[in-house]
Amino acid sequence: MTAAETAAGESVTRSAHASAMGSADEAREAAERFRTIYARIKAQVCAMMVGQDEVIDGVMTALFAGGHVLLEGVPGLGKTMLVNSLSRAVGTDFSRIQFTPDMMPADIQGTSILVDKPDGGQELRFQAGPIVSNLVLADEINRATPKTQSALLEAMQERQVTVGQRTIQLTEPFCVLATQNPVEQEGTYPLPEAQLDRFLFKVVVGYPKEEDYSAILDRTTGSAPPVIKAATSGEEVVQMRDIVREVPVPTVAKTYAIHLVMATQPDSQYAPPIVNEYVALGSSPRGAQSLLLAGKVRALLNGRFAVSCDDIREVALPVLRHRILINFHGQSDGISDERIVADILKTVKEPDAVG
Amino acid sequence: MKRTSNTADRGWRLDEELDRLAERAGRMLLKAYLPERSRELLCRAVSVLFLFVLPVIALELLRYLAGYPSFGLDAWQYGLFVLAFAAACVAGWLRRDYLRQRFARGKTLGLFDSQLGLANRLVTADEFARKSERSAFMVAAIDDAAEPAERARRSSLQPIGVDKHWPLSRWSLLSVPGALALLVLTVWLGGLERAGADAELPGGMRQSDANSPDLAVVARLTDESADKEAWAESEELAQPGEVGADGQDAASGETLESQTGTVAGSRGGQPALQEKSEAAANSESGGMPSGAGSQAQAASASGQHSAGEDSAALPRDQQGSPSGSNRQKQAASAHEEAARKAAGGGPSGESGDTDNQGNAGRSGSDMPSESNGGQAQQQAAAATEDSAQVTAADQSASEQSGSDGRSESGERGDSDTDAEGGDRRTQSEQGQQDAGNDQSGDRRSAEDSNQNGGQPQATSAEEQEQPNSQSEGGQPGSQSNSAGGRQSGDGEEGRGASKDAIKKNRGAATAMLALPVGDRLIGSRGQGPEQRRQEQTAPEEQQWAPVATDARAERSDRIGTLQHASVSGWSRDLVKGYFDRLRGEVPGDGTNASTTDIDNGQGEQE
Repeated sequence: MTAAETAAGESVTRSAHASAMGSADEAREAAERFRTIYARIKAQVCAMMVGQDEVIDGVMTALFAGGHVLLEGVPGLGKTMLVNSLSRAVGTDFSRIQFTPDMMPADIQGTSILVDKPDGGQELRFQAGPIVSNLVLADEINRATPKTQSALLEAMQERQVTVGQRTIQLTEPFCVLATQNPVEQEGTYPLPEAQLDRFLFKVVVGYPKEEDYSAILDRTTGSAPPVIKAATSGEEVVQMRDIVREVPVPTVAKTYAIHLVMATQPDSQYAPPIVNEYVALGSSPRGAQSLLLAGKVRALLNGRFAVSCDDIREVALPVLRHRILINFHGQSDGISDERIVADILKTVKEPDAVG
Repeated sequence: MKRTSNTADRGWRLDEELDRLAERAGRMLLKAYLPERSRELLCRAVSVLFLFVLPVIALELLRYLAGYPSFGLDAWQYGLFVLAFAAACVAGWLRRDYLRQRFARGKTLGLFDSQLGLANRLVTADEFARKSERSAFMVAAIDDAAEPAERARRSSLQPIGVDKHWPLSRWSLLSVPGALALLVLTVWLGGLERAGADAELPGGMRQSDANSPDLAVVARLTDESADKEAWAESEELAQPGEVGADGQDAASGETLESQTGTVAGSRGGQPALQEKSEAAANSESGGMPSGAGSQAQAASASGQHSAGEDSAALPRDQQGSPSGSNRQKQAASAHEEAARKAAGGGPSGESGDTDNQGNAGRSGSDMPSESNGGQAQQQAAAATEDSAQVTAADQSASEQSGSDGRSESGERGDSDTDAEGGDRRTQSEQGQQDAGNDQSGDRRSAEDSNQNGGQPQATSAEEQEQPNSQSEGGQPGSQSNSAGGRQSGDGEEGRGASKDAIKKNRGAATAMLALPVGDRLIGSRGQGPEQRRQEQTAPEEQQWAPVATDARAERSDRIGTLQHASVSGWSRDLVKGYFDRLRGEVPGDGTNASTTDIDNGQGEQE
């Protein structure tokens, strides 16, 4: 290659780089807008919820990443209130389904009912179920039978509902926020793995801290309950989701996510000993997708324009914990999902790590 | 627009900056990599240490196949060689890695990212900068890396903490004793082979010592069995005739003298023996008186030690008496037969004049009849210069003796017919030259011919030699064989053997038994079967103080948090029964109780 060709190539590269500069500013503006909207929504939710920052961030991350969230906690910790507050802060349609053992799929998806016509006749009219909404609160989802739980599968993955010959496309943003109670297991039906895998996050709601109790009592026992205003709209949430999808993922972060997911699979190349011993089933590739999507949201929130391994590491626990099925030995030895994920994070190194 | 161009320039500078950073980090990584790599290579070398013993084994094998004497190195010397070889391999491999090692660019920039907490900004920017199509976020990410790159340029990298553990497993450690065992085995086998060669040498002489012709002769002198045999034969041979008796006495008496003189002769030239052989040659050339002939043959039979002497005597025999050079002539001339018998009644029957006559035959064919022993020596030495491995002083003698050995083997081949004829040798009367001897003679002749590289002189000498020298000719060959047979200096062997005039047992059985395989493994006697006896002991009385329920204190502390939800009774019994059955303990009570409860419940529901 001659010097002239080299110079020409450099000039082409420079010009290409310069042409992309305009869009770089757009990217900065989009990222800034995302952070602003996120902060506004979180401020509204925090007006109702006291503490539980990690839970709020997890739910909102799943919302902007386009996933669903499974909230797990004992009764009285504000799970339902959180989802309710979020739906009001987002300003979208909201519906709540209280799952019980006698609930049927038609109660969720909808059914055709016989209605009287104004002219005196009768006809079958489809009555959409509560699943046809933007934000769906599936309260105590593990109390419903597997048959009813399965009614959510299609809606959560394909974002559509098929009832008889009718298929209904669900409007975006669509997000299922399910709660379940870890105690009182009698009369409950644990969620099947296929159902669990469709949740982007599993967020465990813990007890509030001591300093939060006072604010909780003041807000909930006072005469003026807090008012939550819509900080955004459904359309804006969809735009935020598009921005999230624009965030690029470098190879190093992608490889790291893959290694983490493979580490949850027993007898894989990256599996630590605890996984080989106590894990019966590891994460599916859907887990890697969830890692990257959630990592993109975290990257934007952290002021970066690309996903880093830190973002992946930050969302690894809520993404992977419900995708790991502990075997009998692990259960008998008291091995928890958190411990396994923590061990995986400790064991699996970043691809470019030295030493 | 101006801002855009500034950004473009900044991005362009970032590429160059990233190049420099990658180069810096690459050097740092290489510093950290080499010790780790050397540890890894050392551990690998240890785990395959037994492979480094293979060159030693190959060396020993090659040495053995090539017929060279043992190196005589000890195990620790071989061990040092192996360690040096392994270290050289590790060093070479490390240098190769050092020259070929190229770290990935992501790894080098990732070093800055991890040490400065840049959250993969440099790696990401570097990757995106190399893409042909970039999205807005990619360009933003590249721009975002400008400030961290500047920070990385100003900062210095911390030394990389490398894991210093040695990747050496227990199994790979087993390679060390394995290599040691291989090494010791190799050295032991080499020593065994050496000891086997030494064992064939008399008097505990070593193979390396046997290379010296002087010491070989001294060692042969110490061989008791050979001496006894030689003495016995000399006594038997002392019977015939007065001349023969004199000759025999002289031969028997001179055996040691001549042998010791051989040592001196091989070094200095043996003037006394030369004179004697010259006298015998003169007498033989003049008609070969029996006394002279017997003297000459006695001298040769006593050991044919000095090649100069023997060769000097033999040409005279052959040249002086045509019977010495040719059997047909012997048959034709009765006088020559009588002279030969007179000479054969002496030592020739026992040890034979093989060397002398062989030399005589050879030298006789080459030299004129008046040539004395010195001339015969010179000519024989000139004829066998190729096989010379000895010093200049010994070279002529050794070559001559080597040629003697060759001729002896040839004579041995002829000795069969001579023994059958029974006309010349008194040995045939003694039954010494039996079939086995003949066979050994054949075998020796073959070996000698092999050792001599198939020199044609041996064949020509055989054909020209006198038959009565054949019996002796066999012995040198056998001695050379027993001495190891792998020495290149076959002439030395043959000469020394021909001078011995000592018969030795030969054959494969002797060779096999000659290997001194000592008991190296010293075992210990077993203790025998154990005898156990059970004794009954009286049970000890144990004290137990019952605790009253009222004496127990109240429970005041919390029992703590239950990790698992409480299980109902029937399910607990069900699980307990399941695991009891799984362990083989089938408590009928628990299982039956739970079953009964369930049944009862069902019955109540019904």
